[in-house]
Amino acid sequence: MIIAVTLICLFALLFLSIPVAAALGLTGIVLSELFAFMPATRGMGNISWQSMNDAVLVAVPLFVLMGEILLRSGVAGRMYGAMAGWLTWLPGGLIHANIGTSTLFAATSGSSVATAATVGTTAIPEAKKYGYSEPLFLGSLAAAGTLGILIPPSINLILYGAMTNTSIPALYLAGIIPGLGLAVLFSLTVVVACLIKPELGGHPVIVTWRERLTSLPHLIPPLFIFMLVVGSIYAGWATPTEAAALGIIGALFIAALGRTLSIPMIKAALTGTIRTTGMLMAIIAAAYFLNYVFGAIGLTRIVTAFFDALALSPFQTLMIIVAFYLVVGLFMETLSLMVATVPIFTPVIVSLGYDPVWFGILVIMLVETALITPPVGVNLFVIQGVRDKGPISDVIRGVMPFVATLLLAIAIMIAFPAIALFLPGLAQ
Amino acid sequence: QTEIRAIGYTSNLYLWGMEEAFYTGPFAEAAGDLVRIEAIPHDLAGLRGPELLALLQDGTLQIASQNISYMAGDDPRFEALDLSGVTLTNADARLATDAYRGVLADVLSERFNVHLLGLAPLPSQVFWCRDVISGLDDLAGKKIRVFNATTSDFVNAVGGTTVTMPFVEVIPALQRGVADCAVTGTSSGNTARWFEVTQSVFPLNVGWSMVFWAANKDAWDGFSPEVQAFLTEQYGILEAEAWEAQIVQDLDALSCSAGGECNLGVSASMTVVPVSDADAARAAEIVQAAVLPNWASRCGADCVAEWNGTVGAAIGIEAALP
Amino acid sequence: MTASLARGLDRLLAGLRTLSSAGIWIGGGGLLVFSFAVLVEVLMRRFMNHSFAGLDELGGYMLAIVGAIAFTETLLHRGHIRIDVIHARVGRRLQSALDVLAMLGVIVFFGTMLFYAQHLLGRSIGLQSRSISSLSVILWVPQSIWFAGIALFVVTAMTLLARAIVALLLGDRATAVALIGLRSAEEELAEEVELTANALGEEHRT
Ligand code: NA
Ligand code: NA
Repeated sequence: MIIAVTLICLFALLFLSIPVAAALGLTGIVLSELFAFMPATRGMGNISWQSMNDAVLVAVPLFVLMGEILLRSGVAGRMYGAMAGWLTWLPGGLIHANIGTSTLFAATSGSSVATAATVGTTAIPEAKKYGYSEPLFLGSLAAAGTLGILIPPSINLILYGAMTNTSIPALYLAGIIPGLGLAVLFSLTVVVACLIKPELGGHPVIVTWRERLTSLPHLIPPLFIFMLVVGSIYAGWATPTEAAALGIIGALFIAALGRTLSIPMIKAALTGTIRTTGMLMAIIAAAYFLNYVFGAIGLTRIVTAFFDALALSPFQTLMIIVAFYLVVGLFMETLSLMVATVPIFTPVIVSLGYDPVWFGILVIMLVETALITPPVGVNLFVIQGVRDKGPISDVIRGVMPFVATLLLAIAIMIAFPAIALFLPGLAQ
Repeated sequence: QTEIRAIGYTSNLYLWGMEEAFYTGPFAEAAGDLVRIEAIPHDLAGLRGPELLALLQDGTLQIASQNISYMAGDDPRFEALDLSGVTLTNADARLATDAYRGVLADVLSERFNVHLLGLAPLPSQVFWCRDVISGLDDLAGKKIRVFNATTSDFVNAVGGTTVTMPFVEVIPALQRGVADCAVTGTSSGNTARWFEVTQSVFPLNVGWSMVFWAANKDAWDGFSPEVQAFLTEQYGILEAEAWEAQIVQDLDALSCSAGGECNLGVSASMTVVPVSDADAARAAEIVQAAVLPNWASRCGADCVAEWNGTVGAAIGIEAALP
Repeated sequence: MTASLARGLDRLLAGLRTLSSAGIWIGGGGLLVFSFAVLVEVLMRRFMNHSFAGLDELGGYMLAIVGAIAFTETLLHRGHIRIDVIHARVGRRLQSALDVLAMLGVIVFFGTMLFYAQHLLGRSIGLQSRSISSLSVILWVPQSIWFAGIALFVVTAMTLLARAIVALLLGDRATAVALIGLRSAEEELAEEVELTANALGEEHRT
């Protein structure tokens, strides 16, 4: 009953095109009025203050600002050009530059939205110029953008660590091999697609070795920021949140070196940052309120009792949770999805003997899938938002091969947990 | 039958296990048809802790338990039983609590519309360090993560550098050396596996994480006298159990961390650095020189006089008026 | 009558937009200042064994304030994500009805948040509540800025809704869409290109 009302209310509000934040919050108010064993809505002031005043979530606007500075200063564009020079010989040409640039950018940015928006804005004008099949080109940008939260740094991994008391450095280490592996799988997907249908690939871009070599320095800025953001954590200089702030200093430094640091550039970066931050924080505040109402109406216990009653084997339980994320991930915004579900499922999974670090990586991959599955896939919206014209169905068609690849990668991750746990094990 | 919804302690610490077992076991049996309590831990209700008193006060919650020192920002008397280094043993803490209970009950009732049901300590708040330290003086020059004003006062007086960071970042910070030491409970540090990132634990008590159980006063006044009497009696039983458990958990957690006999915690192989008589004497100096004066300035003269007449008289200590 | 109401609302909106633009500099500036403070903290902790002790706490207050201020800028930019599955498939009149409903949804939820935020703020002022850290921050200070951010957001949403309804009554659908419509792809790209062009263009001139 409670679950049915929750789903009906949430989907009705979403499909009526109520903004996602308001839809989550209004669902919370409705559930609180109907089912809560305490006047839960009355706690909204405290809950909103506690959820927005969070020393760990500070990393969210910091990563967005870092991406904005790199974008507005032209660093991201030069990075893309260099990647294109090195990767376009592959079947699929520039599409590999999309994946390569996203992978590299993911190593500096903690956010999939920031990664997709930054690389997408840079790459989309190139698609027309070289006659690429738009769907596959756009799909690769939406999909590779999701690497932003798997390859460290990652806001979602910080959030997972925060909610489950799991070591964030261990999670960061665990994300590296799966992240690079997934990037390779995405590229293989493009190669296979273009071998089957060569017309997807567009005109080859002719690049000389000389051009390739002279473009190499453009790949240094992202490596420098990666060293700063991730290196400062492992060197024992900074906490993960502090490291995100160091990334901004690094990006400003690079912009200054490239002589693109200016007041209008800063203003453009701050404007973009504030607009994205307002959207994200509204959703986060509303999602935390809904999560608190879930607790107050006993949904948490209903789910736990449900698993107890089923008396499934650990593997069956895991499969049900994976299926849950895939289905609910179709409809739900991902930060709220994580906030609402991770505290419920992680204790269940850990009590069955699974490793919390591995489960964190698995959740991130499921969240990546949710980011690119319609009808609610934030990365699909981001890419549709930065492209020229045309229906969103182009992006959706183009992303489908990558959804299949992600499902394959999730299966591999379940079969071989060592892919995630190898590096954290070495560090112990 | 009276139906009560209660918010319990954090789900992954032993106190919640005790509460859950109590509510579903002895409490339910004794209650019969009189009253029923349905409880969930605060974290599963989406609550963080510090907002609990406000929610109890305005009637959002009926009954809840939480660390009383989290509320010290609302009234400095809420940290009076948790001042660093003032009571070093369970027996002293018991004397202090019995002496001060009336003060806290009055504050809660008059300023916060809340009825106090019980008070009990959690295992000692102690120092966990990356290196094997030799004693209290060895903390000088170390970066020590603290989370409230009184531990901060204590660490500054020892000559340590206080650093602050969100709780989730403490383990990586200890592992990588962003912090050299951090303060947490003997039991919570053991169950959260802090021994994986630290080599020594220095069990000088710098706080108890005193927990309170309390009811919204309007809800309480709405209960029949029979229910009130029953709840008072039952929370007395729960409180007594928690005081006993504190001793057992404290000893077991230290023994487990040191690789000795281990029944409740996780076995590890840390060095438990003994607290020498010199350390205890130095701690007492710091209490007089830094901890009490700083708290006195937060709390005011009347509050200190009241404390001297209760806690001070019970354990033989006097705080200078601010 | 309706036309003069429209002019009044336009003046009010212009004022709200100015406030929100100032918010970009306040909020964004806060992020930049915080980043430099972190740099100093990290270096001092490493090389001078000194710490500000409490920068994380201040970062939390900053996030609450920046987030609340940003709500309004995002709203004026129509950046709060809406799902267009049905919206894109219905006629213009129904689209306008959905736009009005969406804005009502925002006002109801965030209005409720504002109402209870005011309770929280009132309590903090009444008790003179402080944070429990050694910074002992007087909580109503950051909370009142946070509260003002949410209040600005709710007032802006109400003004936008009122102005859009007036526009619809006057048969001026274009204005209503520009105020509360669902952002289309073309608009987003245009603004994206404009922002980047501004950034690079200005810098070439200097
Ligand atoms: Na990343
Ligand atoms: Na989705």
